[in-house]
Amino acid sequence: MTDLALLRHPERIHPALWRATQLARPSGATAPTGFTELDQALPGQGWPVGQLIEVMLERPGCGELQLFRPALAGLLPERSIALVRPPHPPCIQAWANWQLAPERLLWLQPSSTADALWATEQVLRHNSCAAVFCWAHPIRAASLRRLQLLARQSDSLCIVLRPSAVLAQASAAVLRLAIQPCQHGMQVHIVKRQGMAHPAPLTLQLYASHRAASYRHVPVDLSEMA
Amino acid sequence: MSLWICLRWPEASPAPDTSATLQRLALAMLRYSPRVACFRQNAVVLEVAASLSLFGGVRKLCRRIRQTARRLSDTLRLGLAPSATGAWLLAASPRPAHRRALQARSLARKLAGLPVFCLPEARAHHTWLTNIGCRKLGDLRKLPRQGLQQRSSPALLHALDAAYGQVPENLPWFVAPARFRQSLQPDFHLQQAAALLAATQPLLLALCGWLQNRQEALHDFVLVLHHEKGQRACPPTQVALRFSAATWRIEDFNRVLKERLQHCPLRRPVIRIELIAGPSHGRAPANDALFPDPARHAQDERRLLDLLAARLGNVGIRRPRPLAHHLPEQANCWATDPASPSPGSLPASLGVNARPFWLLAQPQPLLTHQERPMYQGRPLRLVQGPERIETGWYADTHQRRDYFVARDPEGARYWVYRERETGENWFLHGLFA
Repeated sequence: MTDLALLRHPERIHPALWRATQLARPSGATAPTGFTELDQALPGQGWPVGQLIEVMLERPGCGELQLFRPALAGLLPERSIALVRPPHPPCIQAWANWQLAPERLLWLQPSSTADALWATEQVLRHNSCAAVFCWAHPIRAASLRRLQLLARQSDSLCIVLRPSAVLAQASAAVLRLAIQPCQHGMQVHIVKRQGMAHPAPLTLQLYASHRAASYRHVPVDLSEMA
Repeated sequence: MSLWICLRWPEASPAPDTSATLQRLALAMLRYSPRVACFRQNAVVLEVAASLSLFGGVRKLCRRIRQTARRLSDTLRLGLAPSATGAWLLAASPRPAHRRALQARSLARKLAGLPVFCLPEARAHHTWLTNIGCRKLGDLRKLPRQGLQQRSSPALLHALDAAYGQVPENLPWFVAPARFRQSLQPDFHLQQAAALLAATQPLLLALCGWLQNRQEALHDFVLVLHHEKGQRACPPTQVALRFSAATWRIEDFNRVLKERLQHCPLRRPVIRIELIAGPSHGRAPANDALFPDPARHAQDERRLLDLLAARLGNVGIRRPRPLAHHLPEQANCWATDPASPSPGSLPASLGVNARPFWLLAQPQPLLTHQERPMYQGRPLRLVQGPERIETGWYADTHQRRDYFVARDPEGARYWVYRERETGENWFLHGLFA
């Protein structure tokens, strides 16, 4: 093979190399996201397991957990899912409605950001949880780097949720997403991925668009509600 | 054939202050052999012939014992010989290469080079032995046995025979106490967590040896930190450690203790550390599986929870324990004890998006504009509902609510309700995450 052909396919030289027009081939495992268009936009066709994923959102309640719901369902059922310092109490019934076992939930509520980061680090170090969601804020770049290094030693999904104000800051996370709600679902903007820049936000449908089937109890005057 | 390891303090360094240090050393050594004895006030001997294959040979066993001994005292020396007295004598040898003998022949060769007064029984005959030019143990051994018997004490002859492994030694075996309660006086007044943790190591090693000897495990123990007495005396600080699973390894104890000590405020320096073990239980036999064990994750998680509880406290760790109740805020119950959750009782599953993932701790009253609820200045549009919840009529908390799923202009979904009692009072109760 000539040198020119080698340069045309740098991924054949080393798996960590890729051209700026390609998506990387991740070294670790990935978990399918359950959304076809999102799978196609991510290197390895899914969430990177054992890597730091950063999700930025304006306020809680943008569908941030539903984004990960299909992936969580596919993880090992005997391992817990840790929520570190969530902004509001999680609803057990909602979790059960998603066909996920409630006893897998582990809600950690440390009193300070430092404790929250420490708790997340310990969860990653012990590698007993299938996924860990961390809502600590503010996080310094050095702490994010520590989380990324620890995540690489584990085989958990590690997700840090931060306000969208940090969008412009640099981060050690290998995958950064900005999400915002939209009609019937959410818009996902891939800010950073291992590969070329993502052109336009993806729209994921979370809620059924038809409404008629959902009125089960009392008929409501629709004109009043509109 | 028996094989003995002796750990002794050299004569030059101060002998262990009390029998407590010896007892601690003996307890720590119980993990390597059940046959441990305190020997001649400055040493502990253990019979290790039966432990060799378990610990992977004599070299590995010696290395492990020396590592343990180093954490108890820096000056301890290790001797290895086919007899207890021989091991004790070799441990005092100035040259490390001469401190180990596996065979009776090499033991005799190495003993022959030692000064005769290494053997305390020979000191009673100091003048006589010096005058006849008997300086080494080898010289003493060469003397005619009958003459030696007539001119010295039977104790000397017996000790000499015992050292060469020619007579059996009857040692009083160390018997572990029924309850573990040990204390230790550190050399310095301690206040820093790292120093305290280091000073606690001998006690923890003794505890682990004790547990190993009894093949038991602990769920909790208390570390009592005594402070200075006198005018500014204050009551001792108690650090109680609880483990969700029965624990017997020092690494597990140490990880949790480290976090506890780092976050335990000490008002005064510590002068004495006391460790009191809780009730111990038989431990489950170890399960060595060929393939990865699913229970491994549960085990890792118990360790994680113990560690988290040490720093965050039990209130920081919550597990779902749902209640069968119609009111969502009553049903959404989280337990704060680290024990594994009971299955709980959930009503039959509702539609996928019938409940929001974030349930506000307190329902938040909403303003209304043209009879429509507003949230953060944005009008909400009802897209699903109502779901009527009426409960508590039997108590003071009679609630009659109509729940709706609402959407703001951006598309975020909310769970809101209207109180039927008062008509048009709208509340925000959850966010769909």
